[in-house]
Amino acid sequence: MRPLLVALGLQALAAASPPTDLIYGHHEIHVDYQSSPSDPDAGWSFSVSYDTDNDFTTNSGIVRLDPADTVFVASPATEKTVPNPPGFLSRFGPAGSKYWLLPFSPQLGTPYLGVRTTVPPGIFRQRVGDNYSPSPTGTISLRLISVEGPGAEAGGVFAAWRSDAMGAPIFAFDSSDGIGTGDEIPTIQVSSHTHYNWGFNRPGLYRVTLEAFGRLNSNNAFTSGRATLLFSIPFSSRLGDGDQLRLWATSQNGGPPVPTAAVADPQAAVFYDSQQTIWEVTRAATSAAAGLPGALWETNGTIARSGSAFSSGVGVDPQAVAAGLPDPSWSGVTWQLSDVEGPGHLAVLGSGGGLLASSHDGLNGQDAFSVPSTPLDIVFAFTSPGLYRARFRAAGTMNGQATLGPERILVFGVNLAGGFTYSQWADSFERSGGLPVGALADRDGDADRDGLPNATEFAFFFQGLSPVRPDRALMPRPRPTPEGYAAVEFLRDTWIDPLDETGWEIRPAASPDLQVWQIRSSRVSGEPLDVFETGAGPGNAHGRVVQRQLRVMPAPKDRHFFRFHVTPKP
Amino acid sequence: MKHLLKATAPLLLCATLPATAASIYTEGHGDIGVGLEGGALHLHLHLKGSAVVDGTALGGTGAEFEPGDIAIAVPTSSILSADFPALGAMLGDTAWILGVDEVPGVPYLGFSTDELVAADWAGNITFTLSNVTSPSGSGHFAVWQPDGVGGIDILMSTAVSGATGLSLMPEVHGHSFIGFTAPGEWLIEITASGTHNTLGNLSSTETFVFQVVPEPSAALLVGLGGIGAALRRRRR
Repeated sequence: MRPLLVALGLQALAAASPPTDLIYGHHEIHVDYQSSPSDPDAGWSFSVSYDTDNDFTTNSGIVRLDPADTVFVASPATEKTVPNPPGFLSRFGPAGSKYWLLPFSPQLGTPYLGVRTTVPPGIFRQRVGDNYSPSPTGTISLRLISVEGPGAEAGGVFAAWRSDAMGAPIFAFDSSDGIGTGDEIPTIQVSSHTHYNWGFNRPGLYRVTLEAFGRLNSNNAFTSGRATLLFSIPFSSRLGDGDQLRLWATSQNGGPPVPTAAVADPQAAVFYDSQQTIWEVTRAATSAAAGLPGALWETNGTIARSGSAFSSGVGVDPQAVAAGLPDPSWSGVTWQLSDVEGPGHLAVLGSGGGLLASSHDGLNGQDAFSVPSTPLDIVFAFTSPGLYRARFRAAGTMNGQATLGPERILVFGVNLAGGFTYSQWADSFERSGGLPVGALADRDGDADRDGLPNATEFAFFFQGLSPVRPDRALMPRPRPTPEGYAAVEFLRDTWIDPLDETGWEIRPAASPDLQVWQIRSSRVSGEPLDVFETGAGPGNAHGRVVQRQLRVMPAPKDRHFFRFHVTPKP
Repeated sequence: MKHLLKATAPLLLCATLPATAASIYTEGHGDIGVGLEGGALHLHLHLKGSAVVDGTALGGTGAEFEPGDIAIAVPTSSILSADFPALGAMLGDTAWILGVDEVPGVPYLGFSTDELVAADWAGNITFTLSNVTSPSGSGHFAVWQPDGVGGIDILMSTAVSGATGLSLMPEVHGHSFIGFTAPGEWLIEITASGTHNTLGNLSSTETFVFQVVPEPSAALLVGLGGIGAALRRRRR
C-alpha cells in the first residue's frame, strides 16, 4: 500500500528540551554520582537514559532525559490478567483482574526498562547486608520512598521484581504491603545495568520516588539523593451507562472562556476529551427511548456543569474540567446537537422521556436544550447498530457575555465496542452512506474519492474521518511544537494498532526532502531526541485512543515533510 | 574484530584451559552476538571492556572473538531446590548456571542483536539450538528465561522438546539463564537466523565452547579457603 503523504513544508523555529512519553523501547532509570566532598548529597543525579551505541559497559553514548518531563507509558501489550490461582500476583488483585506488566526482557511494543548506575569506582564502600567495608569499587543502594499520584490514590499497587532461575520473584519494591525498609535494592555494583519487571494494577499516573544511597569510602559518611519517576497506566477509553457529559470552560487562542464538554467516567475517576473515547451502547431500547421513532438501542448518562473533581484527564486538563461552568458566573447554558453521522438516527431524551434533541426530524436550532446547574439525567437512543458521531456545541452567557463553544464530537459504538474490526466499520459506513453491501470491502478503494484509501479512513477513524464523505482536510497536519520542533500530531487508536505487530500498523514517517524517509514504529523506534513518536496534547493521563506526535529534533528545520504508512492486519 | 591473546596471565585456579579453545572468558559482560558482515550473518562472541579474558580485563570497548577461539567459563554450581525439567534434573541435583544478574567472578553472558539495524530486518532474529556435545556424552544443557509471573520460558533444552528458541528484535540485547548438569567442556552449536529486507533469509551456525568448572575437591578447598567457598554456592 502506498504511504499517504499528508503535508508539505514547515518553517524553521527555535529548539527546546521537550517532554517525552516512552511507550516502547529500551531505557533506564539512571543514577549518576560525581564526587562532591563539600556536599556529598549534591553528587547524586537521576535521569531517564538511553544508550546510542548500545554498549552498557562504557559511559559513551549515554543520553539523559529529565525524569520530571519523561513518562513511561504502559503499552497495550503490557496489559495482563491475574491468573487463577493468582500466586504472587494476588498483590495486584484477585484472579481475573487487570494488571500491567512492563517486562524484564525486551519484547516488541513494550517499554524495556532497567536500572543503570554510572558511579566512579572507589567512592563508595561495599555493602553486604547492613555492613559496609572499604572497597576499590563499591556499591550503592536504591530504596522506595513513596508512590503517589492518581493511580496510587485509586488504590494502585506498584511493584518491581526480578526472578530467580526457577522463575520465583525476588521483589525489589512492593507497595502492596506498605513501604518500608524491605523495599530496596540493597547492593548495586557501581557502573552496572539490571532489568526488572514493573507492575501496576490501576490506571492513572504514578509518581514513584526513589532514593539512592551509600557510604563514602573516605569517611563512612552516609549520603543520599532522591528523584521521582513517572509511570502512566492507560484508562480504557470506553464509556457506557452512567457516564457523563461534563461541561467546562476552555479558551481558544487566548480569547475569553467559552463552554465546551468533556466526558467523565465517575467509576474510574477520569475525564476524557470526548474524541478519545467510544461510548458503548449495549442495551435494547426501553420506554425511555420511545420519543425516538424506531429506537432499538439506548444508553443512559447525565449532563452536568459541575460535579466530582477527578485527578486524571485524558486529552484534557482535569482541573479545568472540574472547575465546570458554575453559577453565577455562567447562565443560560445550552447544549446543541448540530450533526449526526451514523447508520441511523440519534436522539437525546430527558428522564421523563421528553425529546431534547434528535436527528430523525432534521437537525436545526430546536435540537438544543438547557443544562441546569444540577446534573440532568439523559438517555441517548439509536435506531440502528453501528458507529455514530454526534457533533455538538455548548453555549452560554458568562458574566453577561454570550459565548459559543467549539464543535466537539461524541463517538458511540451501538452494539460495537472499542476495537471494532474493519468489517464492522465498513458495514456501519456502508449503511451510513447508503452504499451497497461490500462497497467498502476493498481496503485500497476510495469510495468518497477524497484521495484517502478506505484503510486510511479506518485507521484514522478517531481523527474524524469518514469513507463516505470527502474529508481529506481532517488528516493530521504538521505544525511546530511549543518548543519549536517540526512535528505532526495525530490520534492513535491502540485497539487497531496495539504496537506489537499483532494488528494493523500505523507508522508515521518524516523526511527533510521527500527522498529519505525515517519511518518510526515499535520495531524501529528511533531515539527520543531525534525523530521519535512521543505523546502530545493536554492532560496527565493516557487512554487507548491517545494523542501522539512524530517529533523531529533538533530544531530549527527549514522545512520538513511527514506521511503515514498504514498496513492492514494480514 | 578478532582478538587473539597469548595465555600469559595466570591460569584461573579452578578452571583449566579448554581443550578446543585458546583463551577463556571468566568474568564481566559479554554477548553471544550476531552481526551482518559482507552480506552474511555472523554469529560470534562479543565481549565488552569489563570482560576478563585469560585473567585480564579487555578494557576499552572490548573485542569480538570467533566462537571456537575462546571458552566461556561457568564457575559456579548450585544444588537445585526443586525438580527442573528443562535440565532434566531433580531436587538435590547439581547444576551449573550462568544467571541474568551481573555478579563478580562470573561471566555476565547475554544474547545480542545490537550490531544489526532494525530497519533492515523483517521480524526478529531467532537463536536456536542445533547440537550439543557434552563432556561425558550425557548430561543436559538449557537456556531459559523467567516469564516474570512465576514460571519460565524454555528457549533451548536437550532435556525437553518444544523449546521455542530465543527470539530477539534487531538492535537489542537480553539475558537468559544458561545451565549445565555436568562439569567439563561443552560444545554448544547455535544457529541464528532472520529475514533481511533485501538479502532474504540469512543464518549463521557456530559452536560455542563452555568450560563448566568442576566443584573443587575437599583438599583444594582447605588450601583455597574463602576462594573455594566463593566458587561453591549452595541453595538453602
